[in-house]
Amino acid sequence: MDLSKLLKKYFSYTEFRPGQREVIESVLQGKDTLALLPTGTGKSLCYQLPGYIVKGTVVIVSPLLSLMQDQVEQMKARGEKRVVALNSFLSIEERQYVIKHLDEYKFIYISPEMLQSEHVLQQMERLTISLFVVDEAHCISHWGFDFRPDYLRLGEIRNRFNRPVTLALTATASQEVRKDISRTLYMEDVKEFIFSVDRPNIAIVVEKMQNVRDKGKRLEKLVQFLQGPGIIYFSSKKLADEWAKRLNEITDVPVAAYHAGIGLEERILLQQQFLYGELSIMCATSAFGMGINKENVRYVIHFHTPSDLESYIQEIGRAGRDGNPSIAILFYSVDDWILQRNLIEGELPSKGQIERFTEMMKYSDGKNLDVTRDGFSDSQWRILKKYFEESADEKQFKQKMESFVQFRLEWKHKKLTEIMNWIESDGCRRDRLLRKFSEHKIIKEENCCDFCGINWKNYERKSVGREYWEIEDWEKRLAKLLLIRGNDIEKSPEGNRC
Amino acid sequence: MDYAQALLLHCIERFRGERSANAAFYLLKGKKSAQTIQDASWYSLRNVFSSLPVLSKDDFNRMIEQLLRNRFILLENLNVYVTEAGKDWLNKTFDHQPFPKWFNGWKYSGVDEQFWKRISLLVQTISYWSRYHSDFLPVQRDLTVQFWAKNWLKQIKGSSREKLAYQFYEELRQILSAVESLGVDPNLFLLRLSGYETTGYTPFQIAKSMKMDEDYYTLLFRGIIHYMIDSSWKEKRRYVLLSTIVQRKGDLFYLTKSSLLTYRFIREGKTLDEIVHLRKLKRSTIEDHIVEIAVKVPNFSIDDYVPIELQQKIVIISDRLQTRKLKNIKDSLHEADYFSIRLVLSKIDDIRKRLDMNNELS
Ligand SMILES: [Zn+2]
Repeated sequence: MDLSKLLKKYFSYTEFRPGQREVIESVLQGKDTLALLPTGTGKSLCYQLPGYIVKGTVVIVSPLLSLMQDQVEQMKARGEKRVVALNSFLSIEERQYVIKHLDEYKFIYISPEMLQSEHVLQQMERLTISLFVVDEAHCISHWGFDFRPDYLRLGEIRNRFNRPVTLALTATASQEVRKDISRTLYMEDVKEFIFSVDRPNIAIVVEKMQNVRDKGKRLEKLVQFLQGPGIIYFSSKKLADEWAKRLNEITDVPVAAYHAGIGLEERILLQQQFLYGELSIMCATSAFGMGINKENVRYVIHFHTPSDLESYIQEIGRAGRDGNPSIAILFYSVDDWILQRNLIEGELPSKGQIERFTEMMKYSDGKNLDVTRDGFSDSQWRILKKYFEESADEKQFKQKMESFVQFRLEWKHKKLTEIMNWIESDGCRRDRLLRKFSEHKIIKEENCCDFCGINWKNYERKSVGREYWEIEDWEKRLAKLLLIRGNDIEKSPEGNRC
Repeated sequence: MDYAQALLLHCIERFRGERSANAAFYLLKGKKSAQTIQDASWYSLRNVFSSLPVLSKDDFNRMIEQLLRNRFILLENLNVYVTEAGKDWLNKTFDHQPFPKWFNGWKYSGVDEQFWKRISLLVQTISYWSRYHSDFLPVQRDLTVQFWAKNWLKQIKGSSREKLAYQFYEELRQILSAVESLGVDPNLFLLRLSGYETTGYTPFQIAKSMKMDEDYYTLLFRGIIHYMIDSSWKEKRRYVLLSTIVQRKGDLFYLTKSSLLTYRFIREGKTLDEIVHLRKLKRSTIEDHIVEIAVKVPNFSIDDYVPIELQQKIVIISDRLQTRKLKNIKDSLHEADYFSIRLVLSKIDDIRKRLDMNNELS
């Protein structure tokens, strides 16, 4: 079987990216496989291509709903119609239809929440599942930075599916997390592939500042100086909005804000505009970036310190996928400590919220669980619900919840300290970063980091002038949309007029 | 936010302290409850019904606070009134940004969203399709919309891709030319569309580039959609494709089951007394049904229940007193009973129109 031929036929690529072929071959040999592939290296190909060789269904568990949706749309656009995403985006009727016709799909993307439904599980048991994929597998582990309680049951579910060949995928995972993944999924004789998280073409810079005002001034300068396109990450939607507005006023490049508070339809347009270069700068929260395959992002700026090194690596990994010189700049001030602490505490349910949740459950008799979730964030609700359903009684629930919160808080503080230490440390930043992931920097590169020294000229803006759109004549725009010969209105055939 | 505040203020002004600020919230959001529908009819606010469907309670509360801070409204014993300053600001805002004349949330709320989702996906699909490209990311992710578009395209058989694209172009060109000739910029609609090598703009981006309040932009945009639905239905021959995008449904507001039964008897020609007898219900209950019917059924005539002359008297009195309070109206017009007053208030806009027309003729 010629993998390269299939790659050309189904994906129109001429060659594999590093790691892809090895992972695919391992899966096709029927081996349970754990692959650590950095973001932007085409993880999805590792299970999509085998899908065209194995007989049965490929089931992909993914916690990121929007990413799932994007992937399905991309596969459909490529011509693969036998693909579906089974998640809470579907209406009840659509869901019922899909569940009834599961055997008609080759690729089934499913959210961990959906797998909690006994009805869904029963329908899926009937399928011949030949490949079981767990995406973002680090979510399984208590030690992971993005732990999802729903993931803990995946091993048991896999057993019910008769232990299909399993592929666990993640972009970042320490050794303890990798152990956790194999154990929780009951994977046997696991073949591990670990590819370096290092992205040598991205220069790593940390800039320490006194306060937010200094950060703002520096940001205004950098945005004028750097060659775009660029992504600027903020810790809140409000700041992303404010800065998009400000940068639009003071610079000559088009800027937009992107976060979960913006409607789906608008987010799709903004992604497309960014992809096609109609927008140069995205002021974003961490909601932006997943599933966006833009090759030529030239810089990523963090206006605030991220909560951990894993998130940081993922986010800067969105720069320079084309291999050309790119730069990641992190702004740090002492306020970041306090800010991150508040954010971390806000993610987990507080004592008061645990109490309120218990009260609510008492009066709802377990029905209508999702109706009144005001005052709870998504992640808080997910955790509360999970532990509530698993507890025998109220007392046990509260105990479990409190020890869980305690554990997560300590863990998150540990991760925060880790990134803060990295910022404060001396020595090559890349080297220190890679050490966290049990790697060592081997080759000395130019433009490595602010400690080794970089040449800013490499990142200076070349194109000058407003890249902003001008409003065109409406008839021209309409013609461009629907007439093949574009603006050629006069010569279009007469007729059809009543 | 400015324009949203103006709409809110407009409702409060019409209410004249007789309804709460919350009633305005439900009306602007387009809540389909009996009370809100009655408010919209009695206080002549049908045109702004559902003009801010995505308004959140938090935003609403912020708007009220802002109006209080600006002294545009004042609270008196839980009643809310518009101040002189508020009226001035409201007039100025409406002079500068008149309420879009085509906007009809009463008739098209919800249908407009469906129309937009479908037409935006159709244009995008045809745009790629006619160039023999099938790989694009759809602007609408709603599966029901995607299924609908697929079926729609399947049904337009027998015409080549180029021809279909051209026909769609031509219909859109004609309807948008009509929009333009009536003084509205078609780009308010067109800039939103995506297609081959063209990405649509977000409402925020368009409003900003046209230096417009975003809520006002959205109203203008929906106004164009309402115009398109309306014209395409009226001229099905001319807009063969556009008129099939949404189906003309029955009425937006469904009658309750019991009122529906009463309505059937009315259409069979039964009188009020006969219906009371037939249904073995209290007279007041049947009266409630008829009021509900008057509010919800557009062409329902109340002439059988209230003499035309009395209808006109009630309209004149309630406009002169500037009230919709039944008791106040009755105190000034002893010959009218409560049932007649409620019926007239439910049709007040129609009756006033008829009155104006008679005045013009005479
Ligand atoms: Zn270095």
